[in-house]
Amino acid sequence: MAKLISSQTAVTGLSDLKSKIGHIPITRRNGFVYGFLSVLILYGFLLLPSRGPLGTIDLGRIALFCVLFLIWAMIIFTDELKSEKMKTAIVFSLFIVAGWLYYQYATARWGEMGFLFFNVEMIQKAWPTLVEGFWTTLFLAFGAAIMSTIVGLLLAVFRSFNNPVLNFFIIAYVDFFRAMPIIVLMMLIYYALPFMGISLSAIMSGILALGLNSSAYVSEIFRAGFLSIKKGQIEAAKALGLNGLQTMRLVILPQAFRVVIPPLVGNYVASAKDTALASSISIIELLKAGLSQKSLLANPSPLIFVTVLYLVMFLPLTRFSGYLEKKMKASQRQVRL
Amino acid sequence: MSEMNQSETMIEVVDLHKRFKDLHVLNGVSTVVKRSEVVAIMGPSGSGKSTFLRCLNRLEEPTSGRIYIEGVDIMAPYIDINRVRTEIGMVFQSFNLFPHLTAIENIKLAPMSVRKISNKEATDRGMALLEKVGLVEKATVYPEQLSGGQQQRVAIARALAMQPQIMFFDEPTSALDPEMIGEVLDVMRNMAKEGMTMMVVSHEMGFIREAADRILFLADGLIVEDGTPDQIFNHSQHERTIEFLGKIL
Repeated sequence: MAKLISSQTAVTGLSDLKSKIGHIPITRRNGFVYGFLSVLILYGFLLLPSRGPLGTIDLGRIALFCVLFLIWAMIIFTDELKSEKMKTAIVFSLFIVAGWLYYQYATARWGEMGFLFFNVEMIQKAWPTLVEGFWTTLFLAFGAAIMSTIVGLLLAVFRSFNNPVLNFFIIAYVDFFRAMPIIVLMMLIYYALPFMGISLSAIMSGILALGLNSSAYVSEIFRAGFLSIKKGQIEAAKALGLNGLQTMRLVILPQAFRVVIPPLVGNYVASAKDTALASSISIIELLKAGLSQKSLLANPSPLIFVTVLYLVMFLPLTRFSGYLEKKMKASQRQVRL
Repeated sequence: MSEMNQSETMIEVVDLHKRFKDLHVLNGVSTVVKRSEVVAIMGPSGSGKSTFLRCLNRLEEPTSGRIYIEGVDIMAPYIDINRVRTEIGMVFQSFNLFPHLTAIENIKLAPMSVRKISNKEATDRGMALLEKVGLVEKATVYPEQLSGGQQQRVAIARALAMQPQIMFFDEPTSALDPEMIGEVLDVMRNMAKEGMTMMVVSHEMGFIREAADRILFLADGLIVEDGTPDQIFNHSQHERTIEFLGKIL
């Protein structure tokens, strides 16, 4: 009896396998895939137009080639029976073909790219201005960070007193500066306030606008940090006879700081990137320096250099704040255990 | 302790009421606790035990009533409640150690900041207290690395570091695994023997029978019975008490 059952299952198993093989769609069989590829290559050689001005029919041919190539790539990429290696090759080939098509048909002046974008001589000429702009950007970023930390922390501390009148004003402040675009704020401070007799230098206006905006976010970050501290901690401090200030300084702040550092670093990075907005109120920071040198030298190399400099500054910082956040989450998990 | 000291009143509570919006938690509690007395507070959940204790150092603000600690009216408007709290040590159900400080730093924090004693003196005192609770070797360890029982013993040492006249315990063993309850109760038993005035919210029958001088039995925000452990456990007259004891025994 048992033998009968097992032989039966063996038979069904085999027929399953057969039917599976039988059901591989024709488009996914190796022969079809390689055949398709040969057609694509032939198409490329025979039907793709040569460089130069393109007519409507030429564009149609290029588009059809792209569509066929994508269909071919997708057939392989979505086939679970194909190997990972083959799929990786498909991804690379997509990039290569796209790049090749762009190089072939986009009307860019590729030959002059070195002279236009990566012209060392031009960057050298622009260098003193760029360095000055760099320091101005740093000054703006640090000024805004210091101001926003002090103001934001004070706001959060006042908020924790839970006085309804005080809270109303703090919430209004936070809402206002979070809703207000930074560039509008800068222009208001720099161009509108002088009419009321309040004249601030461009750089002070920039720091003030960035700081006001950032302080709204910082106060919310600190508030979340305070709220993350358990009620029992404050009760224990009170029961020991600590007054409000001592409780804040010795129990709440040291614990809150650990919680807020990752989002705080993220906020400083965001605020530092916003310094580029200061170029709109005649501050010659990094972006404006690059732009003015581009105009002066009639060459975009300084601007490209500025772009690279921004990336060099902020890529590590964004990575760093992500790392802090991850570490923070890991340590929280540990505490909960 | 001399006889005169024994009869000295440490805490006097007169007609204490506490209301949370519509909820009447305490409905007029009055009692007197003498020096070196160990008073256990029992009662079904929601009877107001914890709230009663927390009102006595104004962690909860009483709605009305009078509270005298060593004869001082702590409900008086001019009173410095932080000063009063230094005289009352409190131990919580959830330990509430400061997680950013080591065991010894937890103990030193209040004496140094509130009593303004030197770091060295605070350390010496703190180490003596850690020895008392049997945790000298854990002095530089952070709370998260301690077991529940060890954390609670550090919390007791932290409260004692202020050299309080009175100790409050709010369900000190409720959050502990059974095998750790004993070590905490041992420390409390020793404190009782040394003559500390204690108020303990707890249902640890063995501990109460042995260490408590009196039991206050609370139900619905009132003291329904007040007597020695023998009176309450063996000769209770009140049906609420009998019903409750029947459930936990």
